[in-house]
Amino acid sequence: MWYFNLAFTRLFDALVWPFRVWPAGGLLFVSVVAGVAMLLIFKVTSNQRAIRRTRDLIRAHMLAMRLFRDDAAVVVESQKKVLRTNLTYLRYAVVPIVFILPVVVLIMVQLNLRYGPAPARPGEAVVVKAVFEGALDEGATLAASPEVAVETPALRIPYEREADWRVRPLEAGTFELVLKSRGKDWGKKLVVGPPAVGRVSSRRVSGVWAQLMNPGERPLSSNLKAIEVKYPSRENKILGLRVHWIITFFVVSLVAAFALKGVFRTEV
Amino acid sequence: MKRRDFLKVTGTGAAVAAAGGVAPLLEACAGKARPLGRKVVVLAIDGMDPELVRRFVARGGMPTFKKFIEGNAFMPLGTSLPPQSPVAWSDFITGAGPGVHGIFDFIHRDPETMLPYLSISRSTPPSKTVKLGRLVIPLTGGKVENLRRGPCFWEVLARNDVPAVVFKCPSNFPPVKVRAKTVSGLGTPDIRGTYGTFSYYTDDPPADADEFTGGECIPIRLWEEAFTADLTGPANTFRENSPPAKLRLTVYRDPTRDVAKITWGGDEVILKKGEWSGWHRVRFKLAGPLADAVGMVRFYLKEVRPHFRLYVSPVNIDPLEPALPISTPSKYAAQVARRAGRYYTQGFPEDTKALSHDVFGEEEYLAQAEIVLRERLACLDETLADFDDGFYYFYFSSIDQNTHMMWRTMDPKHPLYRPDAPPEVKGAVEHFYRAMDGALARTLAKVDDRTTFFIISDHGFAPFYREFNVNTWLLDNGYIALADPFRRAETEFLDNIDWGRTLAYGLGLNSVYLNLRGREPRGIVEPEEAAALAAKLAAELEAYRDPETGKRVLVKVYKSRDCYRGPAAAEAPELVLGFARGYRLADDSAAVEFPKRICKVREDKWAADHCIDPPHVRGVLFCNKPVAAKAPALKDLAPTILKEFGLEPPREMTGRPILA
Repeated sequence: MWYFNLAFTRLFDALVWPFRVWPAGGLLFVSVVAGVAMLLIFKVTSNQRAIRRTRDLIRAHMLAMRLFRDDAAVVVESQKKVLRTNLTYLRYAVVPIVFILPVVVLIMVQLNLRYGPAPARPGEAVVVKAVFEGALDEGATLAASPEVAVETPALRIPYEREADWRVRPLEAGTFELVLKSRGKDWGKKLVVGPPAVGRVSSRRVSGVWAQLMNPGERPLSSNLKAIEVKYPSRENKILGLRVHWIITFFVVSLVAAFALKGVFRTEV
Repeated sequence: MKRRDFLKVTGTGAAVAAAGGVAPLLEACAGKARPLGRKVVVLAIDGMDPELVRRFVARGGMPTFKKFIEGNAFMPLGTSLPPQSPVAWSDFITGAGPGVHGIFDFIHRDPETMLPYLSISRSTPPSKTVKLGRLVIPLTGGKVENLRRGPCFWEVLARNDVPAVVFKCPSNFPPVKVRAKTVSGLGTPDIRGTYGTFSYYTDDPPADADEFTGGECIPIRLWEEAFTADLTGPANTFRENSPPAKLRLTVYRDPTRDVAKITWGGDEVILKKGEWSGWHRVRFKLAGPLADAVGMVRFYLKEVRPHFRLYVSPVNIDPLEPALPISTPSKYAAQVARRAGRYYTQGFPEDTKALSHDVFGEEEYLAQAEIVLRERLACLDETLADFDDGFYYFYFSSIDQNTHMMWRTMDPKHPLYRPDAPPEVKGAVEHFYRAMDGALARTLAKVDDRTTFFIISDHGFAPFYREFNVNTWLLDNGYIALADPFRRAETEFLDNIDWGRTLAYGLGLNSVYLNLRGREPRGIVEPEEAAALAAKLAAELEAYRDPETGKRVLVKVYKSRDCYRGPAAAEAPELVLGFARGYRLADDSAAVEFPKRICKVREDKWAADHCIDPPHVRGVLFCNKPVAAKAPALKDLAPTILKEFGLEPPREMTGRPILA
């Protein structure tokens, strides 16, 4: 999983590299590419002829409702058929959606890495959290380089199997936090800098599914479920407006897909 | 709703939900003014007392002031009648008295409904709404209005293209829509619409927890070293009956260590015992994802065990995302915050109520006051760096609030004086005066030969040894009759008055009104009898002596018809109480309560004050130019500043330029 994550992350790095001075541009570009990818997957994995036929049928029944609006029996019958044909259309859409969904999830995971959390700011405290697989290690400690002050002892929440610390980075850079537990050391990157700095990985995790969702760092081995830094949220601005990256992604990718469906001769 | 609640929630909280439309209006007025090559700088230090300045300068702790005094003017500055901050700063802003600006006291009453309200600003929820089940959809915006009337001198400056920066001037909320950089000061509410309501979470609530004013005590029970509780936000006008919006806090305590974690809405902060957090944004959902109100809080972990005590500051309007208009242009508050860091936006940020209710100890209160001072100094640096032309005004509340609370620690005659208090507590007032010396040094760096520089305060200070309840006195002397005398102990805010037999009543900190026919809804004093009744009352009050000390309580009782001139004069209370040094109105009198005793010793830690006879609490005036006026007053400053820019003061300004 780590090598898959690594490869996919590198691919994304390459995609957004031209936009390193305009991060919002990278988000827009990836959204358009995602829209095209979704369109192509839809085209390849769906029954295009059946979808076209279903849409024509829906149009025909709608037309019947308008033409025979004085005839209640025809209108009711057409409404029933519109409903039934719509369900048929949804059935045809299920298969391509099943193929599209994993791709979208993977794209979103990569986007979250770049547009979700913002780096910690020098001088501002963040919370670091360790979640254990088994029982909480009550003696777990956190160490850091001199550029990062660990300001509190571990706050232990036994029933959550969790230990938390407050750390305060003193200057910009990427630093290694080291969790010491039961004779082992686990590292976690702490990214500190201006809000526009690239990839920020909140969590280092164990478990296949968790690794897929958190591809930024090498997986953890057993005993430890996750080490997480509670970074502040990144402020993404599109045309001067603050918009959550998920909204931007969905709007732009859908608009791109619908705008380009003629170009790619795809029935949606 | 109890009448006291009406005062606590002025409706501002409700307007938070729907006032989003106001800020853009200010934007339209913002712009750039032409450069002048002339500067007037005003450092406004609320409550700086001339005698204390002399004392602390003589002790050597204020070298910059000492040097400044040696070569420049330093004299007492006449204050307002009454010497209350909202009145005094309104005098300063308008260049006129309360007869023009209409602010007579902290508390006014609506003569139609006889309901009290805070005099500086008023907020009203949307007037047109549609109900959908329990959801209320506003069709119009809420309104928040500054109740001060009359001219505003920086409006005149802006009209004449003089650039201006006015940071935190009191009595300027919402800020006057003007082409200048302004941030509102005293009068700016917290997000609940109050002047500041802290939250105190503890498993050991004090016995008087239900009687907290300016704060809320929330009893908690820890289960497996954790608890959940709500933080109260603004009134939610999107819901029927506008219940307060709530935000759920979850707090975890370490099983053995003195450290705790507070989490809310995806955010979290860890604190050790005795630590303050920075500012944290809190978001109250009003209508699901469609509408919310944003504020910010600081946490203070007072104790972890054996008892858990967590203080949460009043939810301040976040300058980075203001829920109400607090600056012009609307982005200016954020611009300052981005460079200087977030800062308290509520009018008076020092949490004096937390100290009064023993939620803070003295050192804890001073630590919070130090945070306020540090923030304000950062804003001073930031706004000064941005200023090089035109008019500049910067306001400090530290001296005022801390003298109110800490005078008793330096005055051996005070009944609350503790000889064993630590030196930093005994020296607190002096410490904040010294801090102003630092502020002066920073400001002087911007003062050059084309600058007219003033340091002013709105009033001085006096000890507050004993309190006087004018309403009990009026009741005992037959001027007030209660509708139900058996409910005397429960009476508050004019709710148990027999208006058919009441001639006069006290409201606010210095005001006595006659129950005037034609003005009060059930007035019985004929207008032609008013002057004689006012004179009789004034004479009797002036003659009153404290039964325990034998001293006169009131030096002078002012008849407003002799003192106020202007379009608002008819709304004034008939009498303004001028207390002797050492006395002030009792808090319960301001709330129109009727305890048995007229005079008693002051027991609250708010134990110094200035709401007394104005000549006894004059402010300070320092100026780098010769002052020609023999007895300059606050209201003279506006015409003086306008004259420095070669501008004619508006007709309503009754003050006169003071410089030679």
